[in-house]
Amino acid sequence: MANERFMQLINELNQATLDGRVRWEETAKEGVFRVGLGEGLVRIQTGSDDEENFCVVVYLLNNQGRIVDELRAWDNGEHYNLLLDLYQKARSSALNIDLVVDSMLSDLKAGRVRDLPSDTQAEDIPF
Amino acid sequence: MDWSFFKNHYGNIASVAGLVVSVIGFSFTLYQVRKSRSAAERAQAMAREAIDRVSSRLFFTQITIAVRLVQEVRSFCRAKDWQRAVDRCEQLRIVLAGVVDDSKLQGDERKTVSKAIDDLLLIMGHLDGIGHEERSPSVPTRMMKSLDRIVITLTRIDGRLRAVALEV
Repeated sequence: MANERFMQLINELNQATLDGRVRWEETAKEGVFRVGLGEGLVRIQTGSDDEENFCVVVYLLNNQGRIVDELRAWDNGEHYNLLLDLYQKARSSALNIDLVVDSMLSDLKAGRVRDLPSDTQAEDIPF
Repeated sequence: MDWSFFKNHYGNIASVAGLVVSVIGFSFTLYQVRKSRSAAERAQAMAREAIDRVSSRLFFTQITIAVRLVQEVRSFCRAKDWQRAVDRCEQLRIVLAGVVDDSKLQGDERKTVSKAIDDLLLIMGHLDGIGHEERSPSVPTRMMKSLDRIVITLTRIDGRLRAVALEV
């Protein structure tokens, strides 16, 4: 169960991510993102239980990697929308989704298409 | 000879002599205090230097151990020896948790070590899952790359410490 200060941190982190003031990054595990703040890290990930109920979890870790607090929100439960929103923003920040989409929109507007290597080219390699 | 003249004359001489002796005695005492203080400060500085040397040596040893452990984690993952891989991961995490707040880490090194500890927790979770047959018995490329990054980070720190040791 998260304490009030942790909830405040999550809310402010949500706003800071929206404003682009913090940059999330990818971790060793696919679909798990983290941001380093002060003397620790905030990690966000999704998960499910044995009955396939979906949840979003935010962990607060200190520098030694100890989980000092966590907030788990189950599908349609308390804080679920807040954490899902934060997860999507964190993912977008870590994967630079806005940058990629912007570049695509600008190419579309200019009528440019980037040539991708065709599958047949790979077969032409002489060894 | 008048007794009062005798008393005043030699009394004055005695007073002056007493004052001179007092001043010399006080100066000598001050000199001794200053000397013993500087000796104590020198001893303190030497003790501090010795502590610094020992803690640097200890830090260097911890980093060397960490480099060996992360290389073992990689090897055991490749050999699919999950139990040993988890064991080395746990040991490595403990070693890194011990050095992460060390003042001898420079610049972004502390942040990088902190991230390495977090990645190790995620990798350990994955390896535990394999051990309990919850997951397919393989380590994703992303996790192997993270281990490679940890090797590079620790080797860099190790290299820096070796260079400093050579300079000394």
